[in-house]
Amino acid sequence: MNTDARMNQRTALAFREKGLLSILGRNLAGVYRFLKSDPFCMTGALIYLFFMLLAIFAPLIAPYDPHEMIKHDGKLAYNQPPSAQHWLGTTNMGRDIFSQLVHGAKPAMMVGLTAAFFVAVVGTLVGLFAGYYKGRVDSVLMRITDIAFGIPFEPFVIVLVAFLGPSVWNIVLAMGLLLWRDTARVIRSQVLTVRERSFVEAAKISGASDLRIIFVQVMPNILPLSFLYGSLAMGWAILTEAAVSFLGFGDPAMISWGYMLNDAYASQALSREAYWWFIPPGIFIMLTVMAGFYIGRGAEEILYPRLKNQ
Amino acid sequence: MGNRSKYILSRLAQMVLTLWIIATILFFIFRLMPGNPLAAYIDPTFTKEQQDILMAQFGLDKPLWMQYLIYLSNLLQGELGESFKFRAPVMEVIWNVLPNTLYLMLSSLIIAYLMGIMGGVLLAWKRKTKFETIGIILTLFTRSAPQMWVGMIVLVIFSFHLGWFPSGGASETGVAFESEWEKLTSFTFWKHLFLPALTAAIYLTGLPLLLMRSNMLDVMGESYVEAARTRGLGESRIMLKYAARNAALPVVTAMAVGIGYALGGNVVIEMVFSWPGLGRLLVNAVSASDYALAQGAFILSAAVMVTMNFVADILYSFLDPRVTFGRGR
Amino acid sequence: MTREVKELSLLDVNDLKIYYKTPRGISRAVDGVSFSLDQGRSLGLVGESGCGKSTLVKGIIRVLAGNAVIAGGSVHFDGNDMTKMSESRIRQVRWKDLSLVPQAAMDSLNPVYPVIDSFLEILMLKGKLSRREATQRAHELFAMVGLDPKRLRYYPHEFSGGMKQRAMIALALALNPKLVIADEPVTALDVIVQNQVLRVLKNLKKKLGLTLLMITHDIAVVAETCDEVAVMYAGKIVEIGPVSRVLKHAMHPYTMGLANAFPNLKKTEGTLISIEGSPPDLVDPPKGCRFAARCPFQIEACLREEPSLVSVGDRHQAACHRLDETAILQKMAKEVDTWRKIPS
Repeated sequence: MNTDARMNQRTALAFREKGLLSILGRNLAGVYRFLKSDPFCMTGALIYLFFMLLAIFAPLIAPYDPHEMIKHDGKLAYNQPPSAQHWLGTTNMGRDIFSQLVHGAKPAMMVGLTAAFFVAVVGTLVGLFAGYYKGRVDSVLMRITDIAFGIPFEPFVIVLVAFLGPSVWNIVLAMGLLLWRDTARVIRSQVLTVRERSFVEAAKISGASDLRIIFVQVMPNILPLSFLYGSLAMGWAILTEAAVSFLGFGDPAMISWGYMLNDAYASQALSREAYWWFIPPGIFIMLTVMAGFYIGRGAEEILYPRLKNQ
Repeated sequence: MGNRSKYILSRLAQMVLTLWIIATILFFIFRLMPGNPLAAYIDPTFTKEQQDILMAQFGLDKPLWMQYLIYLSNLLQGELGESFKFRAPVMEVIWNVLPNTLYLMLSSLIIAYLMGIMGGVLLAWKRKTKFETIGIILTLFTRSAPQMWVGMIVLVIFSFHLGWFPSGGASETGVAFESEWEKLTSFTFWKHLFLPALTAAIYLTGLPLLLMRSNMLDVMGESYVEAARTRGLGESRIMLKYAARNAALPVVTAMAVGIGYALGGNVVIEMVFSWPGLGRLLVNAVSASDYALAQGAFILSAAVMVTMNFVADILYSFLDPRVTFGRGR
Repeated sequence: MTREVKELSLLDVNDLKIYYKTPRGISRAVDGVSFSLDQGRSLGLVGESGCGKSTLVKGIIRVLAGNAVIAGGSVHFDGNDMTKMSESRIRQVRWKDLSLVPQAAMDSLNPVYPVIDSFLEILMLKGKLSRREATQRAHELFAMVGLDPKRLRYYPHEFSGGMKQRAMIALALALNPKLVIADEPVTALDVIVQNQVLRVLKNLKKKLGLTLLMITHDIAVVAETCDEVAVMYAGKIVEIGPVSRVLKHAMHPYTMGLANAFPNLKKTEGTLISIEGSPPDLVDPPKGCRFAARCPFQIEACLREEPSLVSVGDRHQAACHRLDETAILQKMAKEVDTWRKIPS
């Protein structure tokens, strides 16, 4: 009764924050246990850990500055194949590829984590409210979701980034505006079933407010799904960032793996068969995306896809 | 009026609504660009007469709400303005390249779905074997690998190294096709199409393959499969008519939806292979600040996607007799 | 316990043993079951869930799960031992000579084709009829079970419970099989619809001279439709004989309990008596009589030695150590208190 009284005093927003924290706390222990039990998940988590460490300690790990055009004996060391000095060789402007590769983890992680978080939060909220309240709220929210589905993803991001300016955050914003759509749909259908369960009935009868029911009763049941779609979104976000950078709309200040691919392509690395330049960034992208799939047991979701109607 | 007809009409209405809202959003995006609100249609290098024509056509000196209405009516008539770069009506420019994207997309979809369905049946068939495990991991690789990277690898191996295929474009440089028919029947065209289609197919195969596999696994455990066996029907008949037939339904629908996504988003492959399609047009238009063209290309992509989603829904309602048209969804 | 194979029976099951390999060990689901069914007669196999009746049926048509084996005995159908037949031979026998009205009624039909397709498939492929002949036959079959032939064009999911069941009966009769096995034909239906379906079955039995093997846990259903009844418990047959005799003069305590457990609409007095406890673990069955733990008449011999089926009348057999006391036991079985205090 104490908590109820407190709740009546605060605003809905403040309540939500408090509720979220305690729920997260409860769930965190469960998440840890869960990570340990699943080899896919463990692998994904380890890969992520690796890349995050790479991103954080890049300046220490990379032998050179990724933008630096390196000269040896006064001559620009361009298009060099791998050697002791340059483990992955150099670009056509004399930049060390290995350093670029290491530093590339930073934008990847930033984009991935931010997008994942954003997608999980927005998608979950939309799905929660649409699924719980049904009726008008549902119609409006679903209409918005339908529109989000109707907009082609890559072109939209390109157009937006082109207009807003090439920065990592604009890319994240552009993705955020659309990426939540899958999550919302899935969460909504899950909420539709959960809300029929007896403990929700019981909560309603005992006089709990709608918001309380949504965040205390319903949400814990769909959090695993949010987590899953969050991790899937991480993969998609990184792929999209790579595509956008590859097309030349990326952030020039941050050398991402996509940018490296662009660089390689544009300077004819293909015809020179400079494998050491363009293969590693692609492998890293692939690993990060796959790790994302593994971590959220997205592997299962990917392995057992369902049509949206089901 | 039957239930199904009502459903179709309501989906149609939804589709129109969605399209209208997308068009409206685009209207505002292109107007909110930094600088000149006229920039969406008028390039400073146009002649005065051209500028006047466009001003009149799009009512660019009129109040915003009037511009909006004119914009909508123009849209419905296919009037999208004049491309700055090409000095030709946007619609015409788009119309020239649209078929190329369609050919590329259709080819890659067909390859992907054929490979995917066969692969899916195979993987389901060989449950719990090493073959299945390897197959699944490979499939996950294809879903995680960035397409431009795959494209680059494909190019290096098959074009630069082996020299079997050209490295880009839809035809030899300098050579243009006289007509669509000539294009479609020329060997060169298909030789140019092959690598990009293959690259796109590699990525696209994952979905139908996994979808088919998971559906097969579900269906193989259903009572009607075992019941068919008790009726003394042969194994291959059961596999095809009972299992695969039931498992294939969602995959067919996924194909229709897939068309929408493929048309909407395969910008990257068109760029890697310099394929003259809608995606490449969009990127080049944006890079060159050819706003009119960019806007037009974008609207068309969106329109196709929404339409394909609609078609997919309708198709599914015909294929699966269990879909109800009541309130449930 | 083997006995000579009766030459004249249509179906003769002789000391059949079907075991499952489970992670915990071998589960003896069917452990030495014998019975025979003559042409034109109907036998009801009664028992609670887990007693092995479904396994028995699956074993007869050979659609057992991967981890099940036929560990012994034989199943002679029309003179041939089915347990020794090849898969292709069995496939021929299925539906033509022996058919099944399955438990999961309409989930047994391909959901994306109209119902008539399943009929045509069987009639044309196995019955070698032309499309026209097959369609006509399908119409006949539907009429036989009291369904409007127009409904043949409908999809399986559009049929109601009772209609589904009757349609499956119609399908089972498609090729004029010699034997029809009905697996829990009315279990999922409400009482009124149950009666409908049972009436159809009885009519068909009379008109076509059907040989019927009915599997059910509801002894009342057997009482209505069958000539003979076999009571099964924990993988063994504990009593078998003509329906009227077995129900009126049950010799095995389990049968007595079963007869009590079902409400009889005709009786106005009497409380419902149910049998406490649950069946034994078939991976590690008890040494003596398998019903001993739940039997109110258990004596020391029951725990030591397993009773075998002995004849107690005309074609009537039961397996119990206290058969000579049945008169008293039958009276006691009708009392509620008898079943309340079960010795451990």
